[in-house]
Amino acid sequence: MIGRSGIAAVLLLVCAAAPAVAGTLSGETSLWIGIDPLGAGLEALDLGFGVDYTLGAVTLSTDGLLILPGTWVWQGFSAVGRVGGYGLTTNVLFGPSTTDYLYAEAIVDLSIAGIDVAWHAAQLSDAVLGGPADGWALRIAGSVGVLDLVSISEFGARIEDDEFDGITIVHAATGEERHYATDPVVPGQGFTGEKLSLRGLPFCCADIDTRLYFSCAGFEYVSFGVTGIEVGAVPWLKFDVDLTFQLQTKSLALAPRLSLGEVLCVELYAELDGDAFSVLSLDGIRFYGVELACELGPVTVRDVVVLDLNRYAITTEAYGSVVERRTDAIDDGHDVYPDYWEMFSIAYCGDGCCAGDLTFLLNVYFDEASTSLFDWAMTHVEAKAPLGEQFRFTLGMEALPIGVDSLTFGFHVDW
Amino acid sequence: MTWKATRLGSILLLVGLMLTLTACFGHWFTPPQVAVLIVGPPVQVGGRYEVLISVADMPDGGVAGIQLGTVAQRAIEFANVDVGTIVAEGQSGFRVTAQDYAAGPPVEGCLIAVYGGAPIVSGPVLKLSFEATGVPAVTLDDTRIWLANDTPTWIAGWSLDTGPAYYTKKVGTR
Repeated sequence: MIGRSGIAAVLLLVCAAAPAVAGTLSGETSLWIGIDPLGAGLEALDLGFGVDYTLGAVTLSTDGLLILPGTWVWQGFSAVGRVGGYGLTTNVLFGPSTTDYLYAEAIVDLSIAGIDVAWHAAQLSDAVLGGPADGWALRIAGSVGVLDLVSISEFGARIEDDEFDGITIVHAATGEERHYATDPVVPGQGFTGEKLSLRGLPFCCADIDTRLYFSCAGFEYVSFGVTGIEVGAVPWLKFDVDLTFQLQTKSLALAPRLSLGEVLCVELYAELDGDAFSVLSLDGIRFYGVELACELGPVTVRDVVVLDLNRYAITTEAYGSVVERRTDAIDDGHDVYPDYWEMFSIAYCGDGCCAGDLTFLLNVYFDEASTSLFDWAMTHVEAKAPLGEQFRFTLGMEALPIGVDSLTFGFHVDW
Repeated sequence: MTWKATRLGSILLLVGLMLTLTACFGHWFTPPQVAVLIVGPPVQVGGRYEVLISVADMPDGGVAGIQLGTVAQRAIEFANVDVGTIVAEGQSGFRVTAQDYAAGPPVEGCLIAVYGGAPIVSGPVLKLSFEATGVPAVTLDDTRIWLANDTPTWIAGWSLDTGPAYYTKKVGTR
């Protein structure tokens, strides 16, 4: 999201041609220059750059972020390749501004006879709060009939799955984040956990997913879950059930879900309204948003309205401009506009001159606290146009009632 | 070839099962989880400076409210900062409900920020922005800071840290 502080960003992509040596060299460099038309002119300068070098079956990459005038947030290096049945992914992250090595990860995977095996190893340095730590994990997955079995053996590391989100490293000064799949949790090695997941276990009218987790402390939990249980006479109501046994507790979670289906160009954002601590009490249906959308050839027109701004908000353009619960947005790392209750949008996507799409987006936001006509609060404009097979031009603007808040110009060259 | 692959897969599964059954052998230890309030260094953004205040590894489900001092005992001290330009902004869903700054010297401030939804275990919670009159610095007095979760109780056992340039944010613990 372009900052509300009045920073205008100009994106200049500067690419220098470089001769390929043995392999294929490609990459891009992005330069963000902040200009505030209402303020002191140039406000910020961010430099992002990436280089890819493909040598045989392996692609070596580096990418970094430099916030001028002097914060080199990080520089990452990676190697990704596949030789025969073996896949290799490695990542190394450095913090140049503090000359620190931060994190390293290696993933080797192969698939044999229908069994997928992946070995994950990672190390977190003591330059990161939460470190030092290192460890590895072995993931084995396969299918037996209708059953999907996954085994994760943990030796000081945990890996991302539908219950665990891996590791995110945050730069404390800027809030910038990098995410990786392998989370080293302790210094030293040794067995630290085993997770077994079994999906698709048929049980009369439903398929059950089970998960069993042991750590070095012993049994941690076993859970049984069923999703999408239909209530015969109530087609718009479904339940997810999760029964979890831990050493000293047992919990049963019933999660009712509303399923209204799709109604052409109108989408109602709604959820069941009830006692949060007792799903046995359903008081009604809470409508918290409405979206009207219509595609007219290459033009898409949308109108999104939030009915409960205390708990919901419209996500920014980067996250689809949809109504989302604020807590979910935070959990998922989505940016939202907290104060705008309506968005009117016109988007165009057509063929450009040179094997690229010509796109234009105009979003108009409304805030009930605004004193402008129709509660107008902000207008966001994005446009991208190809100027050649390897060259694209980008334009962006945000305008507030007090004037143009930010301007973005950019060039993108693939080389 | 298929027979060999099947055999290899079976061996791998067997090894995994054996490791599960044999368990730890004393290698496992859990480092103490220390809740930290992190004050980042001032970062120049155009003509202004920004300081991020973050939390990491907060216990009891995370932080739902933070109080940095009172009007009588302010917890934030600014150096080389124009007091009239100070703006505090909530992050990660936090909202600043009250703030007050005194010209000093030294320039001092206090504020309260709360979040009505899910508490924050790790991540930025506040951003202070201001214009500088010299090399700026922001310090907090941890004896005048209170963190609360939504149980509702005060969070104890946390520490103030201005040192780490990076921290880890972990969600999903099961």
